[in-house]
Amino acid sequence: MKRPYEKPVINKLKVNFMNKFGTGTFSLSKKVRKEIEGVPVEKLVEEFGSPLFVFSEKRLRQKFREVKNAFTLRYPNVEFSWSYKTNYLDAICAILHSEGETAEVVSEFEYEKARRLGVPGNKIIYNGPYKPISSLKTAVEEGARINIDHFEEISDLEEVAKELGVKVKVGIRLNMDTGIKPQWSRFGFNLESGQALDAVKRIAAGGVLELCGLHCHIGTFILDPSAYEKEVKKLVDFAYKVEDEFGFKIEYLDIGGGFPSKNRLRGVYLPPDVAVPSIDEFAEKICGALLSSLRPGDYPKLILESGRAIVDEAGFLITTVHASKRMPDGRRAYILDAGVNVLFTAFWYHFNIEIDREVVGPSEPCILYGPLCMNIDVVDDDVNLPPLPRGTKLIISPVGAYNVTQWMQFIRYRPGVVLIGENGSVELIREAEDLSDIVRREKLPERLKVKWEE
Amino acid sequence: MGGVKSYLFPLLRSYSALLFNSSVWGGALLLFLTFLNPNLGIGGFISVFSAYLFAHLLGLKRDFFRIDYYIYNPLLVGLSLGYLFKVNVVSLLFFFVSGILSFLLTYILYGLFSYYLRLPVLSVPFVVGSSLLYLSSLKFSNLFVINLYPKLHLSLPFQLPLFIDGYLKSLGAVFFLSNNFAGLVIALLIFLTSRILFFLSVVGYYTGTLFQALLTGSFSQAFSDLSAFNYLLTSMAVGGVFLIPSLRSYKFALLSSLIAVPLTFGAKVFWESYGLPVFAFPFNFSVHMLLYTLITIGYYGVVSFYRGTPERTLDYYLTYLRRFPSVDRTVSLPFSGPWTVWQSFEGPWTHKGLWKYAVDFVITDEKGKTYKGGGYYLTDYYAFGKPVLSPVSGDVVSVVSDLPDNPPGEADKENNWGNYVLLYDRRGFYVLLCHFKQYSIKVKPGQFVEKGTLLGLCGNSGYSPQPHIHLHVQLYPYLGAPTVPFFVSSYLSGNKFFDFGVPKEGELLEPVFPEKSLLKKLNLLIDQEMTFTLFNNEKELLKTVVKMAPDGTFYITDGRAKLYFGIRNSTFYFYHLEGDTSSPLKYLFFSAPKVPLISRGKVKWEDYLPLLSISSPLKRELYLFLSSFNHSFFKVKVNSHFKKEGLIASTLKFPGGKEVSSFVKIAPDFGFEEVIYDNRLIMRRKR
Repeated sequence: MKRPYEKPVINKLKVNFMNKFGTGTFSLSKKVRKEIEGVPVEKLVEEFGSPLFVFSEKRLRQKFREVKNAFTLRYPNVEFSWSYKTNYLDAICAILHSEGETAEVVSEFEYEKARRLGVPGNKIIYNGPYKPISSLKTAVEEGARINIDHFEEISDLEEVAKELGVKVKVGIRLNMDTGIKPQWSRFGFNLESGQALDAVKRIAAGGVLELCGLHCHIGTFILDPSAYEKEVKKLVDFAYKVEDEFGFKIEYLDIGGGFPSKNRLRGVYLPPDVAVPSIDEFAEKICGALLSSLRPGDYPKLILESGRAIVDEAGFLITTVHASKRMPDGRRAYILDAGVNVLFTAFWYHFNIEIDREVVGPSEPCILYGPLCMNIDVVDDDVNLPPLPRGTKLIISPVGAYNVTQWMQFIRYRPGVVLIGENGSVELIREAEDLSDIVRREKLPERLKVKWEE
Repeated sequence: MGGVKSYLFPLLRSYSALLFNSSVWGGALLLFLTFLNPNLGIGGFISVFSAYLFAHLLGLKRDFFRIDYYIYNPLLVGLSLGYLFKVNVVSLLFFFVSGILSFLLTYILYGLFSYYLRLPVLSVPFVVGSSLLYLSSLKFSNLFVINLYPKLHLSLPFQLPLFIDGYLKSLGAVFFLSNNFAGLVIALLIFLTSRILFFLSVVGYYTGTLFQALLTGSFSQAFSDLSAFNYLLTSMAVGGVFLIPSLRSYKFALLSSLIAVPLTFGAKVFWESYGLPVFAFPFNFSVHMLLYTLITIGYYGVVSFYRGTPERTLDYYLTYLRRFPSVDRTVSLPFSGPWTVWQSFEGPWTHKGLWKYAVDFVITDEKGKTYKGGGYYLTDYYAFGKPVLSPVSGDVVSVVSDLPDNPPGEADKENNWGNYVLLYDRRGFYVLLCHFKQYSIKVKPGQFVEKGTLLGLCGNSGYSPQPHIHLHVQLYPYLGAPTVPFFVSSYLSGNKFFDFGVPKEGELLEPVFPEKSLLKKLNLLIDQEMTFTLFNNEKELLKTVVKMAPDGTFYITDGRAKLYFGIRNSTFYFYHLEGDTSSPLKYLFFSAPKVPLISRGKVKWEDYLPLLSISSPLKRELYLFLSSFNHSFFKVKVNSHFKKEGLIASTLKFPGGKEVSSFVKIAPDFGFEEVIYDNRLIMRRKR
């Protein structure tokens, strides 16, 4: 690619603290991205406006297959269950269901959304600490797999089972020490304290539930594959204890998700390509632990609820520079049309930020502010960018996970979402919101109707 | 009732056994026929009765009487004596003693024949026993010989051509009823139970008699010689009972009835010089000679388990052959997930000569490449470092683990097999897996491994230019031994499930391991009961229970029929239906002859059913008879698929193009919930 001429400049040498990774500020380096999957950024904004979420079907499918192969080639009985909370846009879920993923939901809303999309009840895994009894009843009737979080839920399910006159197959969620800090101990029953065994005893004593699965989710963005190895070994030991002592058959081991994407956590020096282990390393530890600790010929289903690792890198956000400022400390700042209202994950990542055109001039550390009139609205507080003219588009990635579910409608409308198909077609999968979306549910009592005296 | 049944039925069946079937009503008819000559009937009956009593005195179990040799030999002896002597107190005592004598004779001869010759004893005890008793009676002048008294002569009211009359009389002579009326009844009986046996009796009779006529020069003599029954019995036994009915077995039948002719005449010289008939000696001798030869040379078509009639045996045999092409040398795929066959049997590169029965596996991506990036490093190859699982349960014979992995494109010519694991499967063969990654092997010689155990990781050691798994079966425990053909069990190729198969080059295969929940549902346990309602014009109750046969196999029964089932590798099978074939259990069998234990959608598979599944009896029996001439004439093919989880939809294709569709729903707890077969609905009752 022909690079435009740049006038030579002399930069003041900044003496920072020394560190072995260098300063990371290469004044002339800039990352330019003019297109996403072959579709010009310019054209996308022209047609759908800014800001705009863009998803790539090709990347999504490729990533899923990579993850799937990593596991199925190492363990013969694997099920992938799409973590709805990570991204429950219909189109995204539909793509993953077409690849064979079932649905993992954590609320009655997600359950209903999955059913609406045509996912049969027995292809849904129902997790979460709060499951209203009415939704438990629906889930039981439709044959969903339910992982119990607490003792009250055991009672609730027994009530449902008795009401419907059926024996309900259930799983229980465990939490355990795998060396990961902080330990997620608020979900499920603790293994080490004996609470998990108590739960099994309680289920056996009730007589109307049949324990057939174990679930555990050790945390999120786990960078140490051996934590999963510990988890799996503990799960298998516990499963055999349950099988041998209670006569239940453990048909599945659900190890949750928590695999990282190639995103850069704040506070981590190394770039994700170095810091984040490949999915193969996770698969090797998990499947190796399974094959070496399971009894030969016994292959309970391994369920993975991976979300972030699959969808994060398929998502981009296009945002436009609205204004620039010089801060009192001398740093440059830009105001964008998208902030933490649509980029919730900005709180813990340094995204990969690319610009849509060649811009002449040396890069300098900048702050990216969003459009909210709130102090916390910072997309990135330390990114090297050349002097960006107004109207420059920034392409922020990876943003596929959690943003389009955790985004909020605070003082602004949520932007549109498009999908670039495998053949390069661009389809709108969620329209940008307008006033009607927000006022639709509002009711104004007649007596409060606003009437201005002329 | 049960007590009477358990004595009476074996007795009636033993009458039928003389005509090589096990029909109860046929036996009753034969019993009745023998009583047309009361001497005969009483003679036979008393003899059998005394054999029973004697066995009871010995304290033998009731199951013992199911072995028909022990009944029909005393029966024949009794018949032969009843034929000769008039019934009175003395002769009754004589019949009684003869029954015991023939029981003992059967016992010893059965032992000698089965132990030394591995042959069925047939009616040798009868030949020996009756000959001895006839000889002894020469001195027993207090017994009244029946021929000296007038007796009832039953014959058809019209004249038959001699060659038909002779055939019928010979048939009657099997039961010492040498008249054409009894012969006609017996001929009809044979025709009704088995067309193949009827056909063979005709072939045997006319081959023998014509040959005899040619040799002796007299047709009329040949057709009126009663010992000609030996020809037809020989033909029936050889062509339809001891060999799987086929064009070849018919040839053997024809040849052995030819052999029976000189045997008959040779024997007659000795027997007749003492005034005895030759009984069934020629039949026994010719069948035994041929059978011994065929069994010793390992002829493939020898019947191992006769199923009542030649038709049933043929049907069972053909179906078994189609469904289970091999069960003795099967291995499962030694990996997890989808792998591609790089080289199969008689592969183009290295699977040649002595080592032609081997399979190599690699992992490929959507573009068919086995590596990502440039393929310059071993870690670029998808197969490298992937787990290798044991394809059989067996003993680890030897292991090499310390050879280095070659860089891509290079191969170690010194150590062809690289790092390897050699396993011994106790079914009698060795399995070799090679090209493991250096130091990755987790098992040790002497260790017993279950199928599916992690053996090590795929590598690139030995004569291997890229990481792959090499698998073959051999019969000797050393490296480089010649390979032998084998079958791979339980895998998916695309959406199609195979329970047995030989992988083809380029085929993408994925092993199937039984899904735990489905395995639990279909692993039917003894005494488990299922109650169904059958909607077939009107409602009907079907109560079934799971039971175990003495040989350790399991079956579902409703009291009328037994439906044998089992789980092998990753598949649930209904093996075959035994007993009353009108039982609704057959719909279960026909709708789901096999179910792979996988719970994923869109999987399809094929199977074959016995011709028994043809609903029109006329067509079914005609097809079976014609099938005996060419085994590949007719088949019933079943194409099944999972419509959704736990719901199997099948289409049965019958000869002649008729199609029947069926659905089977697997129950949420165990067994089956609902079966729809050709508009018949069977629904599990609420429990």
